[in-house]
Amino acid sequence: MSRTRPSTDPLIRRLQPYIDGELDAEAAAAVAEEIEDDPALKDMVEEQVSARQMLRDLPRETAPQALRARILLELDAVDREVELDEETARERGWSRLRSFLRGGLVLAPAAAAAAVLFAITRASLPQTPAEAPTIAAADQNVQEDMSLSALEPQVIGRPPSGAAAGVNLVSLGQLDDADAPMPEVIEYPLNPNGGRALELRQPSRGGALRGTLQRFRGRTYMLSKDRVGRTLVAYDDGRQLHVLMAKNPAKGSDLQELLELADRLRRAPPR
Amino acid sequence: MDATARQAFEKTALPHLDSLFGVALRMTRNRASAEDLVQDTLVRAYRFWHRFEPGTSIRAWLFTILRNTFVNSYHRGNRRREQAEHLTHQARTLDEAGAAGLASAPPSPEQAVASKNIAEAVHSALEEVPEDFRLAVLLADIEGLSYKEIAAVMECPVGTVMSRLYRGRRHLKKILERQMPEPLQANDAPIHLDAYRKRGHA
Repeated sequence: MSRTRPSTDPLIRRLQPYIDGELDAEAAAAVAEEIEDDPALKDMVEEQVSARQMLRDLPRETAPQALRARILLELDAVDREVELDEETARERGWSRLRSFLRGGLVLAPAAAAAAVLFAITRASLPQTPAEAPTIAAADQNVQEDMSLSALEPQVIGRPPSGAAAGVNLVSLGQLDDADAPMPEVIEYPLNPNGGRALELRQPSRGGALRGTLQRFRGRTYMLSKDRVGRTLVAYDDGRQLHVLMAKNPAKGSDLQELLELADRLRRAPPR
Repeated sequence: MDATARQAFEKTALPHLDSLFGVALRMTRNRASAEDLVQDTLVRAYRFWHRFEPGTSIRAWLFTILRNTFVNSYHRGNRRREQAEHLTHQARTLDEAGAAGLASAPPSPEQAVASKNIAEAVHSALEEVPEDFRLAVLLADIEGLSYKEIAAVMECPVGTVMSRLYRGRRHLKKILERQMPEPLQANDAPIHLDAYRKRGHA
């Protein structure tokens, strides 16, 4: 038995908010009363409520874990792009400054006089103790032996899942993608005192690395800490992502040694 | 982008990944396109994160970007691809749905088959619903957005949202009745108005 449906538009505006609970109690009661007296309206409402219920009962979709990882890498890439833009803008700023200074060469004699005065004043002050060697100072001490065999690499092999726990693989966050290859772990001597370093390698995914940017001997590294506070030095050579860490961390002394090791690895010819 | 913005974005926007994926899947009708659409949506959202006003609906904001991205980039090129992947998607969705159902509350075999059939029929019927009606219905009935939020996402007046919802649900119901009249009546009888009123508007 089919009842004649009323023309829709004014009705829709009255019924839909009632069906979807968008009316206050008073307005809802008025519409309910109207529906009660009209079988055609009742049919309409039942049809709508039934369709809505079927949709609500549908199982929820879950995004694949790999998609989450892909998105995080894309966000890294956006971050890197923004950093590069800022760097370019800074360089443009310097360029403008240089042009400005070129025009201000007439002030050079005055500047020279000021510099001489400053130097004289500084020379008369008592000497401060020598500063601790910095990373920049260490740049002078590049080791000559760049062959990889001299580094005595020892491939430990691919660890079972979870063996890399505690190591934050920088842009990946965690190894939650079942299809991703496990990182290769390689051990090296780190210093003459018997300290060892571990290197985790896995194919590069092209994303930006997270952490603090550090230049060392003309190359860029990202510094970060893993979940237990160990220093990590990471770089991406385009083919592989490399993460270096001290096997038995010593307070404060690892960073320099890790950077030196990373530098040697990057200078070594590829295997 | 500074670390604080990144952190805020991951905390505020990324939890809606599943919702975005669910809607994207039903808009693009295949998984690969849905993944690409969600990825593009979130990357775009991240680039324009400074434009998001805290306190407003993040879901409405994200779905607006999703819809615009879909309309601008995915709408035209997907027809051929979507047909080829349609069956695969349905099969996979059903497998996942079955697995999810078993994990929570084990239904009887008859119930499982019935709900699987209904879910399959609803998925299939949804794909026949015209796009604007479908999106309105998805946002209201699956994602639980208010009329106001849907109006913002679809860039239309609230009255149009009501109309699209009405027509979308009606369309869906008619397709389902055509496809599986008996099981639908047996397993998914309309909720009585009295019961509905007691539950929703007591």
